[in-house]
Amino acid sequence: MENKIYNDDSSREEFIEKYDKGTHFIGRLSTAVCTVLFCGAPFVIGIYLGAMPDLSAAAKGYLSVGLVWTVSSVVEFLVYTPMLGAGGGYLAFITGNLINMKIPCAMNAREIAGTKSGTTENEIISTLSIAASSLVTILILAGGVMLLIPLQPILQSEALQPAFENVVPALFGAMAYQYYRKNLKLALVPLVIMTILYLFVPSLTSQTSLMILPSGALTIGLAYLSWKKKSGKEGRS
Amino acid sequence: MVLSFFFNKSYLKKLQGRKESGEADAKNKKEGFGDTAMTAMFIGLVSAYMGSYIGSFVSGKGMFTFQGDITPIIVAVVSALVMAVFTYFAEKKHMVWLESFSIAGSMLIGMIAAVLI
Repeated sequence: MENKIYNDDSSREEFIEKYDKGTHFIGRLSTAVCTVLFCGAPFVIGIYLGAMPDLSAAAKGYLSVGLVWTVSSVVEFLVYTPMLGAGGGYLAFITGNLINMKIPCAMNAREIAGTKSGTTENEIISTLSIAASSLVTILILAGGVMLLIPLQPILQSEALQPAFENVVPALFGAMAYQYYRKNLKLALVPLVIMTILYLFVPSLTSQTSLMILPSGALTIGLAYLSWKKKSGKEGRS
Repeated sequence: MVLSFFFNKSYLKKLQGRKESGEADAKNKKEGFGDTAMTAMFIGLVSAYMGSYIGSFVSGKGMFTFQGDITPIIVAVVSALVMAVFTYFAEKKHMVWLESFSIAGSMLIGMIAAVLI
């Protein structure tokens, strides 16, 4: 394989363009293949075992919940894609577990590597972190499947169920500390507003993935005002 | 996945303006809004979840009845406290290697707290 050193601006641009094109090509191809495999698997199993479900009943069932999930999916795509970048986006949407694994992983990798959002370096770090996370997940799942029987008493243990049910709060508690302590003023407003909203409209707690959009938009709006104020001050001085 | 297939490229291209300015800012060593926006988005995301835990506990079983599940709040608080301890040792005692284990460690202790409650 040819290895080049890109040390001037034009060859760097050339590399970035090539990298972008390659990422989108591989990403789209893998997404198309995985979509066909994911959607096809139930049909293949159903036909092979002669146990196809009633498709009209399945379609009705999908319609009753599908609309909500469609809106939620659009929101998730709009919110998560800028955080994940191109390569990371394709990988994360294929492998899933975005909120409890891929997003925190990409954000943490970005923090450790010290890359700035919107840069090519950040795009590469994000893709690498999500790829590593996906590979580790697959390895652990493969190990888990092979050890399913000996692990069954642990996995089904009633005493451990609260731990498995609270993975996301544990993750967000740790991440909240990391981000809130550096941006306390910015974090307080969305936290208070979202809490008030959930207190008065408790049914929204089941739609948290939809509430990410207004919460994120509000925080970005506040951050923009504060950034503009800061840049204005720096410009004047 | 389907949205990603059709719109990933065009959506990211739309954000390209911000990306270019982000690269220019990174070159100029000046903090651009792209980075702040990403942090803000993540704070918004975390706040949406944190708010839902508080809302579920306070109003989950009737408005202001405080009868909902308190476990997620305790887990999040324990996890944040453990993270604070990790950060203290990493930053003040220069044990930088701890940073790699801080999230996993905080999560595990937070989850153990859920079992102990």
